[in-house]
Amino acid sequence: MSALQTTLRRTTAVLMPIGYQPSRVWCSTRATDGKFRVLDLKKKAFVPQAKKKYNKTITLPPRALSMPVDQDWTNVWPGPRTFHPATVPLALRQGYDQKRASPGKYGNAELMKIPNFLHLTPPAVKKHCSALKQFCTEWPKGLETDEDCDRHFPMTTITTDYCHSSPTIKDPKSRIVTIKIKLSTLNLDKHARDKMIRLVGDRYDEESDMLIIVTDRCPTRKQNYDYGVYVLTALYHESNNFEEWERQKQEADMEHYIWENNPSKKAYVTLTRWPEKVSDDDVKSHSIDDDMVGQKYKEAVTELLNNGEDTYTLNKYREAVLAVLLPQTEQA
Amino acid sequence: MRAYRRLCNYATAAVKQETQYQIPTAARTEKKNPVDHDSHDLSKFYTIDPKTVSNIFQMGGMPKPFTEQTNMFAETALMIRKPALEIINSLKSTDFQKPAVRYLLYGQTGSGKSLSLAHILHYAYISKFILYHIPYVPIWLKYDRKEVNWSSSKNGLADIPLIAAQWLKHFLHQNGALLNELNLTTSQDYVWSQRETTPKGTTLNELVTHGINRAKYACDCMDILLNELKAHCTNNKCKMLVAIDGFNAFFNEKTDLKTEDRVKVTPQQITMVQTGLSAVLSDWNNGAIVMVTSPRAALNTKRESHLPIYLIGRQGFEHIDPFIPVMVPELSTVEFNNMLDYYEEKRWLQKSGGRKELEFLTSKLPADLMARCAPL
Repeated sequence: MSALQTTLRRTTAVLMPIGYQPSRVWCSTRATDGKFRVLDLKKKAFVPQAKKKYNKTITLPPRALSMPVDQDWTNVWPGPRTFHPATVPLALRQGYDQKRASPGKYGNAELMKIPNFLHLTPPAVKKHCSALKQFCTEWPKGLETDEDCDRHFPMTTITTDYCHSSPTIKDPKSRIVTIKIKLSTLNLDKHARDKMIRLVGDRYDEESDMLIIVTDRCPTRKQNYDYGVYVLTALYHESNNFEEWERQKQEADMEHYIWENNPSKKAYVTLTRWPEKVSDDDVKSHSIDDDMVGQKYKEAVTELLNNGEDTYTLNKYREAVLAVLLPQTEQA
Repeated sequence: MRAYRRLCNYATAAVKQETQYQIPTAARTEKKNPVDHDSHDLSKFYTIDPKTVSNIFQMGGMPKPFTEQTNMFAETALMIRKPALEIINSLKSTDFQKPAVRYLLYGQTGSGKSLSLAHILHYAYISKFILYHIPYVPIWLKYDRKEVNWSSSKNGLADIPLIAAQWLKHFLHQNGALLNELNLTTSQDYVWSQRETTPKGTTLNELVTHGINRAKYACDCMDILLNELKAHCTNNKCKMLVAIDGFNAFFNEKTDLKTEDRVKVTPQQITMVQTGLSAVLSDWNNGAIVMVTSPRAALNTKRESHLPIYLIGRQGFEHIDPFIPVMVPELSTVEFNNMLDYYEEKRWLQKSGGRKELEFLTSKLPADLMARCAPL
């Protein structure tokens, strides 16, 4: 028995290269160990694998912690960039978690979503401007104030250039031309001005007295600009024309309320001449030039209807009417 | 026993009652005649005696919730407020040889315009004005359950005969006694049909009665009555107050009414509206015209502002220009407190305190305040 075993072992030793340890062996122990040998019939031997040790990645501490107080921020954050918590030395918080508390800047997606202007700090802008200054020419004399500019250059042309990285550098939006001009600089008389405003429709802004013509129908910027200037010229001359049909203007077509043309004057004249009956000719010929009460009333009605009613215009109207209708209470 | 109570520190019953909450009483004025009211009575209440109320307001003229409240309180108490007093004072000092002066009451919904008009009507009734009073115009023009016919006398206009007859009844109820006293008569013959005529010299009472009995002619009767009254006023025989509540409904875009041939009629196509518009023309003297514009009388698409020209439009403005606009504001602090005192006195409001909250909730609008205090 012992001879057979020795032979077997010798055979295996010959067959296997040195250093190789089979996982499954007939017998795991050597006969010389002196231990009791176990016959493993299922030929299984459980060898537990050693646990892998977790090696923590070594990272540098956030850069923000080691930043000097007097550093040049424009070098840290030179251009537009998504928010980075380690670079921005600010204790920012944004958004909220499940307990409605706003989390800090590390690992905070909310802070990365919103656009930031950290590259547009006042020193950065200043630096930018000073770099550009060498390409600028001197400001022309005589154009010191905005009023001067408006007087010498009443027309403003606005175009936009687009610059982005794409296969083509052309942007269709760059063809659009906006021409802005103050209507009061156009030297129009009362009729022409009214006609111009009616012709341009909503291109006229009453508050700023601005006429704004936007042209985008031609393919190139040059064509659009020419077209805009052509339209402006045509409008100007058309406004100065007086057509025959313009004589048919009715009361409803008036741009403003004019007291003399309206029933209000008739009512007033009827009141002042009571009890005689007044005809339309009387109303027309009646003058209120030296009638203070009448003038006040006219002013109040005109303001009420032109400016719309509010507490102020209604009160003014009320005072004027009281003076007309109840002069005795007015004195009291 | 008494000693025991003293020992136990029992409060006696008498002391307890004294510390209890005292029901406040509202400030009232003793002057029941609106002719006597002056600026000292501002923001105080005065009561109209029930007989006068039934004479003037039995067939409309006061808002329904207010009428219910007067039934509950068993008295009709009105607060004397500045807008009404202002118009009454001007009526006292008006030169009646000049054309009738037009007043226009305007203000937010529930600010007390109709009750100011009621105060003015009471004054006019006491001062023997004939009241040409249209209680609330939208009642004529809303709710399509009315008989509407094309007018036989005026081409293109529509009559609402039953409503007109009802209004004539209202007129007769308000002015019957005064008309009898003044003995006003018609100035010309009126031929209604082949068989029916009203000869010259008939009293206005009879004219109105005829209109009531023959509803077909009620609308024409309203018009004729107005013309006769205007003529009498101009001849110094009587004084008249034209009072129209919900005046801006005359200038609405549409009505709910349809004629029998299912044609929708606009307000301007109705004879009664034309009569009402003719009433506010100041081509007569010896009287005054008081109109009330209310956002509620406008169509529900046009209620954003309570200012008059928004409600009556340019056309309406030109029709009544020149008029004296009188703003009916919300209650002042004194008025507000007095109003709440009145409600507490009447136990309408059963809790003291919380006035600041009520002020905030109602914006000091009296109609809101009344509704808000109802469950408290």
